[in-house]
Amino acid sequence: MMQSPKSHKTQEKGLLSSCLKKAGPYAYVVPAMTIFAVFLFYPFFKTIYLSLFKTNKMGEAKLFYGLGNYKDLLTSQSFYNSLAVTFFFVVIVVAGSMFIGLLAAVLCNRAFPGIRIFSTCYALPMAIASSSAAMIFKIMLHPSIGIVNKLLGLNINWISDPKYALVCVALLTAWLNSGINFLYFSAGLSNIDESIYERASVDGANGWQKFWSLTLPGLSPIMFYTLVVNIIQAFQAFGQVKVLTQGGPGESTNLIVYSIYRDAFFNYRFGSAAAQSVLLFAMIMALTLVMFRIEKKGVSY
Amino acid sequence: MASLALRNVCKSYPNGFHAVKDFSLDIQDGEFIIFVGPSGCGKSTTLRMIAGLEDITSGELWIDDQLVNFLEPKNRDLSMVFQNYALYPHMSVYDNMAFSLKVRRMDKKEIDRRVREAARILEIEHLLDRKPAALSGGQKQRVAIGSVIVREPKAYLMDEPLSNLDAKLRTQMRVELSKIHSRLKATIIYVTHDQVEAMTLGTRIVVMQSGVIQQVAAPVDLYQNPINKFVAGFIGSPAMNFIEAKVEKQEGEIFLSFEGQQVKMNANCSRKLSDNGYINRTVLLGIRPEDLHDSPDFEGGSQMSGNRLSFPVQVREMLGAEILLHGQLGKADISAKLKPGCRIQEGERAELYIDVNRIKLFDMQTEANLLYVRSQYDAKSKIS
Amino acid sequence: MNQTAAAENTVMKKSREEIMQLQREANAKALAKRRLEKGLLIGCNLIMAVFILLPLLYAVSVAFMPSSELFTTEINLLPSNPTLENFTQALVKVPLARFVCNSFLVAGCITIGQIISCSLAAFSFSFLDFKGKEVIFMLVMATMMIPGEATIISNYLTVSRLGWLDSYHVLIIPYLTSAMGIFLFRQFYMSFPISLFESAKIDGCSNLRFIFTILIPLTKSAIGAMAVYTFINAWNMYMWPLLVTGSNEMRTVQIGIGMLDSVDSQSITLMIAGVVMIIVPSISIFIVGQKQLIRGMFSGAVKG
Repeated sequence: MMQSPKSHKTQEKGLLSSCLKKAGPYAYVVPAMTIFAVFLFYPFFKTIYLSLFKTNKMGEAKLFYGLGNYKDLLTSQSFYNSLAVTFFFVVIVVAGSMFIGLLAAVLCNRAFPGIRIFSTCYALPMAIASSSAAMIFKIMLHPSIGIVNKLLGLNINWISDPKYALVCVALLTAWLNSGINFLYFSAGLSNIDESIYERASVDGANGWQKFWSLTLPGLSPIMFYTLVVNIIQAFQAFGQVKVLTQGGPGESTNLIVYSIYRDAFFNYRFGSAAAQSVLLFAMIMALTLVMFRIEKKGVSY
Repeated sequence: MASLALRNVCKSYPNGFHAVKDFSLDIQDGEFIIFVGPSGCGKSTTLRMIAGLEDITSGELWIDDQLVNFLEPKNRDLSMVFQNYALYPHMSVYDNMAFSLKVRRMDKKEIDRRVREAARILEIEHLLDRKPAALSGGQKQRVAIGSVIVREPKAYLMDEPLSNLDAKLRTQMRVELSKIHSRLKATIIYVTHDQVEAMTLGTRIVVMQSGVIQQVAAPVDLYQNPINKFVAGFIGSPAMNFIEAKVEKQEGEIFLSFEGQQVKMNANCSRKLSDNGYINRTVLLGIRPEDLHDSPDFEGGSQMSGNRLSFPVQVREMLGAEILLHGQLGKADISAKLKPGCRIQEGERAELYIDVNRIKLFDMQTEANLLYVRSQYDAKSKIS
Repeated sequence: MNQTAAAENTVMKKSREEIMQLQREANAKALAKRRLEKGLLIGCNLIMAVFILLPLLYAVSVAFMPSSELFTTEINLLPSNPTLENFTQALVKVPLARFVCNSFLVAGCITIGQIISCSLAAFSFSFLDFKGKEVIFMLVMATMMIPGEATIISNYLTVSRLGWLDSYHVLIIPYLTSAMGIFLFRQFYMSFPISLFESAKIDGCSNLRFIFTILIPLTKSAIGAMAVYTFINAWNMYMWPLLVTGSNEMRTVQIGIGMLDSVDSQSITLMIAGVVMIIVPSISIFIVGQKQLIRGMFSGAVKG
């Protein structure tokens, strides 16, 4: 079954095609499904399995612990802190990145000289790695030499102050995610039929009325989709935390994903980390389902 | 309602393309004006300039006695039906119709009264809660019209509103539009490329080609008295037959001869041809398919019964109420529209009587109609 | 009729000059208004663009700064004595070239692999009929709901038990397919009529031949979009390489660059120079492929 990764080698096409003929339609889904099986489905169930055990340093399940790991988590102050931090983080990231993306898309909606350059700028953050961005922000937010303090005339230790650290990581993430949101919203705007704006201007609507009663509702389906994608994405932020704050100061930026990483690879508590993974999955799943339920009632047309 | 005046209106684009050239027209209160012409003739551009969706490059646009060239569309107090209807997709039919009133902050009760009244006229009361996506083409069309008639604007603009409907619905909606016009006594400017819509709906028709007005006339005048070959060929279906013919004078009588056939001119045509020095020159003879007959049994038919058109029939189309014959004579395609009793078959030679009193003659170079009679509208367009 | 006459009268009352004057004024006013609007729009865009690009511009500026210049209390937006020192130093201090090669190899293989496995699967899902097709497709879609972070521990344990740690294939193989890619391609294939496939079959075209000679050329825009998106994501991958690579030989750029991130304050400019160097490839690919990306991913597939 492990023949699949080789499938892109074209010299094996002849052999491959005779194999394909025998296996029929299934042959075409085998490469993809094998990868999914080995690196998604299997580890997914393995994670659930691990979450019920105490593990040794090698990550082997040693002692059946039942729901113990979950019980421990649900009584741990640290986990609740993680949840709260993650919640605030997601809210700031989603609101921030969607706002920046929407603003940029609206600014680029009407043609003007240089629009191509500007739209490239607005989409650019999506091409930048979270770790690279975090390193740049680390310098920008540096208490003594950082440009942010210099420009604002402040003397704040952004990253080492528990008051600001989370907001900084969140704004960095919002900036990173704004690029793809810009593209989503631009696509959404171009899907709105130009002639309804013309009709609205003949009907007597001013720019503001057009924005509120045509543009925003016209964007609502893509807005919803973007919201779901953004929330899922925000839950997964890792690189920026690792580089910028390592979960600190204190535990003020200890997002769930970072907490999983720390439990598994520093404290070697694979069981607890697995339990957190399962809970993370459950939360994302539940949020997505709830949002789709709401969407069915609300924004569709 | 209001009157509109366009004076020497031009539209050109930065790339140098002139979409509309020197367009002058007076539109009176309550008129149903049709802009008609082939696609790209500038008719929609003119309408969009009136609405304010396009800038007027030069010239003046007056609504009542106000120069509105530079007024924003929302301040012109017009309303418009778009070709694709431009319904707001996320609003219900009711909200679509109420939108133009809501943005004017009209009283809620008054909005409700007007929307329901319009819905009643258009028989769409049962659709008021639906979203546009759940409507058929004809229903969308009604909603689009409903959203313009809830207001009492100075004029209604309609940009090919029926072109997205199937043939049967189009006929039905045409009748509805006529009814609405007579009920509202409204000024309507209506753009179409369909000459049937133009002829049936308009009180006056503006025929355009390449951005230039060809002729402004009432439907019946346009049919009987076209100003040039373009208008003559554009109005009428099947289109007028055009045959190149030489003008000859024999024994005091004037004939047109072509492809070994001869047509004797009546007194009016003879005078026009000899007065203007067309003897021994070539002109374009225009005969409408419905002015060819298989018996001399029509008004004036017996006196001129020697005038026949003979051509080989290649295709015979039986349409029920009439029969169409198609054939060729030299370079010219010939069509004839005959009564269903006609027995001429494909492959035979048709010998048809020409109603000489209704033929048209055109100059070969200028394509002007030599028999054109000046009308009141020409006088008017000269002044303005 | 009366009204028209009245209208005409007023027209006549105003002399030609008056009208011309009126028109000129209104013209100037409209022109000024339009210029103002356009200027305002461009102005807003400029502010926004500077705001968005600020971190990048600042990074480039710092990368060219001698490290002594950075350590002042004055506002130092631009280097006064620009230098390439930081770049050369960064290349000497860590094997950045090796990291870049590694990343190119890994991202390239992942991109090609994803395109092939996703086109094959999408072809099967959209043109062929087989038992359990719906169920398998639902399974694929369900994988989108599983965040990578939820499976990363088990995956780590799996590959370490297989003895794959610190190798190229451990970086590549887990990413050789993607549910999003399958979904995107299927979306594109579904827009072709089934008769396209049927007529190819009647002409004696095998399935594989159909995919490579008909489907792939027809879906260039989707493939382009997919390639740009996958490459950038693979280039920017962080958590997985962090866990599974240990030696300098196998590190990818995002992890390798961390080696420059030391407490030694003199090396800040070096670090930023390194960051700028590793951002350049992904940004270049993004700029070159942006049109493809938008056309393939956002105009067709994402319809409200």
